[in-house]
Amino acid sequence: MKPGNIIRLIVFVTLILFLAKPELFSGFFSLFTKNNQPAIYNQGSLLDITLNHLGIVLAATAASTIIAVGLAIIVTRPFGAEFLPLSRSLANIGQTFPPVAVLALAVPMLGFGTAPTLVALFLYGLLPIFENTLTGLTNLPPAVTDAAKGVGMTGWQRLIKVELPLALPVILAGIRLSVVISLATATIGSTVAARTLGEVIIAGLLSSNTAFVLQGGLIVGVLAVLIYDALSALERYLMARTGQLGRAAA
Amino acid sequence: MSIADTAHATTRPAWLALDKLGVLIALIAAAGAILPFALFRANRIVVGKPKSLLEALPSFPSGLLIGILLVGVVIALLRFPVTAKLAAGFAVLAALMIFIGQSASYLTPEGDTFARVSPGAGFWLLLFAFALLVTDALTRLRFKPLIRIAILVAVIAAIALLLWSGSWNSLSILKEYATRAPAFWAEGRTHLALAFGSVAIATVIGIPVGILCYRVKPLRAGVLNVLNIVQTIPSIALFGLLIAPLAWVAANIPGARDIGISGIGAAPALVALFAYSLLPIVSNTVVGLQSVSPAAIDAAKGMGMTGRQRLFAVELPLAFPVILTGIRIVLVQNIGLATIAALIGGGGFGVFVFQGIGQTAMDLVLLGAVPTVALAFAAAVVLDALVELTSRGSRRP
Amino acid sequence: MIEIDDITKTYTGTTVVDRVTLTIQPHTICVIVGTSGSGKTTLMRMINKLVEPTSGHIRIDGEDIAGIPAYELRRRIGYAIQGHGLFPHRTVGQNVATVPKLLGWDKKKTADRVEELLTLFQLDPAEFRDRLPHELSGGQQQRVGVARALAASPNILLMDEPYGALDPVIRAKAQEDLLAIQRKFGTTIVLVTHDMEEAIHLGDTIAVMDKGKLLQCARPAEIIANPATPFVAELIGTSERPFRLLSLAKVADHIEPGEVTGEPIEATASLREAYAELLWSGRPSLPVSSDGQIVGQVTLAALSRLAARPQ
Repeated sequence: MKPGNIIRLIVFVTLILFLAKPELFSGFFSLFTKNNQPAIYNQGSLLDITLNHLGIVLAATAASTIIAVGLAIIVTRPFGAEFLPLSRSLANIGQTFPPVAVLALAVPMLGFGTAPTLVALFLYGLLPIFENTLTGLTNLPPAVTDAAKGVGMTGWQRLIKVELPLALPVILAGIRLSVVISLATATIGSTVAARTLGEVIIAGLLSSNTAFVLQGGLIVGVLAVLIYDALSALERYLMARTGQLGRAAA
Repeated sequence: MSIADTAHATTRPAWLALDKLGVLIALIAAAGAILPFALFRANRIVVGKPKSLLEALPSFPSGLLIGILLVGVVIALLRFPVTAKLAAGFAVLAALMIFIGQSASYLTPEGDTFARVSPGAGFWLLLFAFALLVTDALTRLRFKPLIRIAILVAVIAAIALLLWSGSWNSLSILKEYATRAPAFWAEGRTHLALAFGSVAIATVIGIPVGILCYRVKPLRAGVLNVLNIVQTIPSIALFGLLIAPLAWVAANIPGARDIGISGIGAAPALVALFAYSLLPIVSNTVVGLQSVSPAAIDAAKGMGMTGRQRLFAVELPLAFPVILTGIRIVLVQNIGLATIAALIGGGGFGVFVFQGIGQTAMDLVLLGAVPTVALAFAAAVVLDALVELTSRGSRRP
Repeated sequence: MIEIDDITKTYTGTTVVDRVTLTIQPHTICVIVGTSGSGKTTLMRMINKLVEPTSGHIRIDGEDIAGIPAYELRRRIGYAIQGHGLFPHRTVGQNVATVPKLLGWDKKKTADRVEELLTLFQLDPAEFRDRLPHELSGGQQQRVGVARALAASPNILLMDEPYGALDPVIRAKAQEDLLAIQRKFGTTIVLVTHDMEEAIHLGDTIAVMDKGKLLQCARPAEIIANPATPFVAELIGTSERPFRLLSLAKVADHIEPGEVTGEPIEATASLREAYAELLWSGRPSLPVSSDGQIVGQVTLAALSRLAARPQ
């Protein structure tokens, strides 16, 4: 096993252990407390909160993926080609909306709680996936798409059998970006009462308890790094399988 | 429907055919026309009463606005020249902007200082529909960078004129502003200082670090990995984690407190934003330098340029557009992220957003969110134009 | 004069250039030919210290280049490469002015030199000076690349596959231009190529390299007639030998007295062209014209004798 993977395994096991038995780590976290503050978050199970956090991110990313890939497919077909330039500009403009603003503006329509967070994560997650799917579908090697036409594949067959499989690693890179952004952005959801790890961090900020801020931040950071690495590995595998390791994107 | 179906309609004039985007815009506009144009509330936090297009304005202006909207929809629907669509889009947007102000004055009872009128879902949808038309037209026209900046300036001037003329003064968001004007400008200054200050520091430090990583290969993977991990820490956590070390610095390092360093407030926010900015700037510097054509570097060496001459005369100028793209990403991102600074007492427009969330006062949220989005948008337009202006020599069309 | 003396270059155990000794006479064109990986480019790049030799010495006009700072040496030696290596962010004029600027020439002198060189390479200064490289055609970019290499009037010009990216018609024109310029300035040129045809056409001497070793260095006629190794013979192409030999001489040098009718051939044409024309038209001899006057004939019999292996 490569040293990198050993480190990842150790980090993963430590994370699981911490979530299951946080009190084992209270010695470490009490280094960051003052005046006998609790060292471990005590207003709910860290495991539950983490699973809820992951659930929100997963649901939002799944929805973003379906819609973004679908939209990208539509605008790259002859039927939707008219919308291609506009969709590019919109994706570009969409990135100028800060997540907090999206979150805050979703509250009047959806009330407090998980719903506005889901919507904000969904909207914010759309952009990287949409952009990468576009890149993937429009930057295919022309020789391959030509050959697919040449052997007499229909538009659908080309999409399903050639274009999407070849674009898959690039699309996956978009999903990876989207997941990492969402993992961090979901913490902000706690400002509108969503049950995410932001709750732990905000509790720490309100009571000046650095231990809470640190454990909330560490769990999110470690999750992000592990998921990022896992998805990167999957991309490399897919790239190698389709023999296009050279044209990595994003 | 295929291209062939529309192409053989030669007997009709070219504009007399349906535009697909126009259909979408017409549908959104129709939904916008049905939904309430404005919301009336007796005071700041009660539930609003929806007012339709017909109720929100006196009969003549109401008819006029409906007429303008209809003309706009027809121009969007048919295949008119793109410039005509752009002009129509801007005209309808201007009409919407003017009439929402009129509506607010009309709906507010004389002398009632508690009543609030805010734009309704219908207004936002109409605004979105015609913003789509304008965006599409601008994208298709591919204006030169300087013209794009000129259009941006013109739009800003038009909005400034509307604000200055007082025709929006009855809108709820401006009523929120009126009670907080000094705070608004103070938080605005803080917001700009946080966003631009952090990017400026990150640029000054990030570019040399990027050059170093490019020249010293073994350094590259390590530095980029560390910066990558910093990016995964959620912003509120990073802001929070910097409180303790900065408090320690303020307490233990002589002079630190005098230059404004303290545990809470702007200092941890600035440091956190700076930390987030480093990765895009450093990695874009490395990528930009790596993408300089090997032939140009070989020629530069072969003609007797020293390492320093090569860096300043060939490598950095050629990498500059990529570096600037990194700065653009970071600036837009930090203008948005600076709102989070309010959570740790760092100030900025986020103060209004979080106060608004706390009081369920959406007008207050908008008072913080609208300028943030506008700033980020303007920064994106200006920097995109600069990137294009500086990429001379590349094959970009 | 460039003296390459027992030069070796090894990269982590692999020997790229293996004990090469070669003298390049002043005011001549020396073409280094070889397949890719033969070490030809590495050998050339050691002349302007883009590559440092592992052992051995290179002397230019008797001075060991090891003692000259690399950047100073390079400013004295012109350098043109495949794909031209123009700076994409600088105008044609600024590109050509690169070395004069490094050498600290004043503005007037630099501008005059740029104007002179662009005119020499048939690029109207008024039209091309302020254009960016990507607005030029491949052939024009190549000419700017060579003009830039010659900007500071170097005595030596190094060229690495300079015509590799050009199509055959433009390449032939560029080769003629290079020969004209070499005659005009008397520059010593070291040119690297994998194309034996180009080597025979341009070279006063040809150095053939394979697997880091110098196999043979001689005049083109000598290389064609007596290839030192089977590899050199293969590079020349056995079926091409007589034609390559003919391509070295001009019709003007082999005119015989006599009157024949029919379409004449120019005295400036190569014997190879004359031979092809004889075979194609099925005639035993062709009239030769010079400045519109018929000055004699060239015969198939004479050419066949010239194409035979020299004894």
